[in-house]
Amino acid sequence: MYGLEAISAANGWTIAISGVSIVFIGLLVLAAVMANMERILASWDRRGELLKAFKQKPQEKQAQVREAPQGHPESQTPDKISLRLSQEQIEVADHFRLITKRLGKPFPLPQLLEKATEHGISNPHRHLDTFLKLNLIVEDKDDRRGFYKWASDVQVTNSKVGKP
Amino acid sequence: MVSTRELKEMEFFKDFHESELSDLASIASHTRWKEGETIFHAGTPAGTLYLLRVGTILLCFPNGRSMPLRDGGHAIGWSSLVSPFRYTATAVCLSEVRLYEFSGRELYRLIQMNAAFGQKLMQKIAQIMEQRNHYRQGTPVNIRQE
Repeated sequence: MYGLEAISAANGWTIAISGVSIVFIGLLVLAAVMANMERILASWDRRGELLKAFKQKPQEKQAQVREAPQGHPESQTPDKISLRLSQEQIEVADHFRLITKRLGKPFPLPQLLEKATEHGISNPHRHLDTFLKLNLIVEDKDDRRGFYKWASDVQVTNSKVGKP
Repeated sequence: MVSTRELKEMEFFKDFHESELSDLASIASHTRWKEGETIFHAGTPAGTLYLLRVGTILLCFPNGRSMPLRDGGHAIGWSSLVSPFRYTATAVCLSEVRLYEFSGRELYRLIQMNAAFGQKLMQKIAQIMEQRNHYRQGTPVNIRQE
């Protein structure tokens, strides 16, 4: 048996079509990967952020929420905003208050950071960032812009207090 | 490797053409800084312009004033394009920070090749200088400086 007959008898057509399909699918996959390489590399560069966002503790998320006074027993004063912080954040805020008492009002943030580092407060930069984000420390006005003060309308409470 | 698409998403580059962004992307690089690290010090030679991608930076001016810059394409290090080419503030990272970095020399090369691009870029720089002008002013008399 020779020629086309032999090819048919030995499943040659099926094998040939399978081979061509495999090669073309491979090329398609390769093209798709290359087309999306930019996105893949960008995601790889941001892997730390993505992992951090994924792993972020619920407590930390909660601490970043600025809450309205309604419904909180500690928020009796109508013009005060209740702010829930973790125990560590409250301790650091207390340390910061002691430092800023000596720096005067309003106080410069670089000196606050310098003193906090000297006093061995852990992660002073991160905590300062959090307090600024939460508006616990706010910028002064007019010619004193660039200097900061503690927000007078904020009452700090422990995030663990009053939880079931 | 920085892509044109990434730069296009930044507010700072919203008025720039695709070809200009492509040129910018070719000279840009990613940098990463840890919390508490200083990116540059006030008074030191300015050779790099940075664009904030992620994180918080505190710009500390020698007069004691400071301003936090948070996410969203803030430019820092404009002094790399303006004489006398010395940083006017110290940039401290308040969190983990990711930046786009542009060499001042390479930016000048692009400006020399494309006048329209140069004009747009310098207009942006002038806006930033104007916004931060107040922070570079002297210290009020009632502020204690140690």
